[in-house]
Amino acid sequence: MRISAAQRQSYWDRGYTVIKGVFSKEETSRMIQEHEAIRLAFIKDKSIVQDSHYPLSSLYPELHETFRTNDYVFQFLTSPKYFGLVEQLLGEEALAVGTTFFFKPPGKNSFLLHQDNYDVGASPQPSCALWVSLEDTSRENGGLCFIPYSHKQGLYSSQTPAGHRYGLVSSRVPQVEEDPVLLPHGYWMEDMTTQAGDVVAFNGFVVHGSFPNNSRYQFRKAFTTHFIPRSSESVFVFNNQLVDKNGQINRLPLNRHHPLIRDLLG
Amino acid sequence: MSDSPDFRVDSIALPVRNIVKSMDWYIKHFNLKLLWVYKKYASLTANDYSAPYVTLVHIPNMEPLNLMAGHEPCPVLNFFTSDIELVHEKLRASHVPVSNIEHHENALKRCLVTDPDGNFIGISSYPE
Repeated sequence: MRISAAQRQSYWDRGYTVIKGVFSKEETSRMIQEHEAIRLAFIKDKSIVQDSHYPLSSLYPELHETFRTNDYVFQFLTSPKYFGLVEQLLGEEALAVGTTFFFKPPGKNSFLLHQDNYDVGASPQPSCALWVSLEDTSRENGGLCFIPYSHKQGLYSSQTPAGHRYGLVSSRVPQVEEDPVLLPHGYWMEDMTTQAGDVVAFNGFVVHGSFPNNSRYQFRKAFTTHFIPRSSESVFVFNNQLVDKNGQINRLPLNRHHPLIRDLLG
Repeated sequence: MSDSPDFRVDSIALPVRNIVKSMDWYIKHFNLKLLWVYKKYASLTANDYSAPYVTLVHIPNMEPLNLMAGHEPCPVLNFFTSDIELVHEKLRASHVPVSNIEHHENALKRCLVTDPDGNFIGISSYPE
């Protein structure tokens, strides 16, 4: 699938873009089935155990790096359809850092505003995420939200008070519609509505989060991968296990500055 | 638009060779707060998050900003503190190169430190 000039411009200008209808119903259903099978195996071997304080969400944790053990997820990750998107956006080859599968069951809390490159630590360019909507998502069932243009200033400190000119990651995702959002002047929060098969691409510096899942019975299943440009000089996580589009493992220098930067950002 | 537009100092830039080391130094010794980090830049501010902001700029081959007015060192950045003796004692204890405290007219006291890259940084104290 070709990414349009407008989509590429939105990614670089606003910090994110939506690519509609990338994956078929068959593909999204298979990804859900594979991760459900992984989850059941984890329950069986007691890697997943119910927590009485979080009786539902503890049974549906996020699943990380499933491509390393599941053939279908590996094929999905390295497919030209998926990998090709990030290379079109970045304008160069990319390396996959890691993946996460989200079940996000009803009642699951919001995901706080954050920046992905705070964890990824790619340098000098930030990471790029491709978030695949495996089911329809909206504000009601825990969809994504973004602060457009927030990627222009790099990483923000979470200690800066909400509402301050640079206090972008101190604000909160509203739990209910009426909750106020205290953002600096000139910024606003945008809801994201997606359909199964859509891909949301976003810059590792863009401030984003997700709403709580307030629906009665709808999950919000999604699969996301963090990529970095192949030209990156260093990266903080999985620097020895970076996967290219051929499925080969690549290595980059460890970003040794990043732990202190993270500490100072709070 | 007014005929007399208003201005305030928003930020000043300081050249540094190692931006992470310098961020840590200014935060540790001057209790500054980090606002953001981006590529070759890091912006710091006072404890109350008010402007002006100090932007550290990574310049590998920088020359230290140590201006001299005759024989008088002229710090490019000057911090105010209400207790210069305490600050001075802490800097000495941390092995930061710091001058003796000078006493001037109107109860002005000041001393001079050099940051990790040799930039002159002043510290002043006076009755408010």
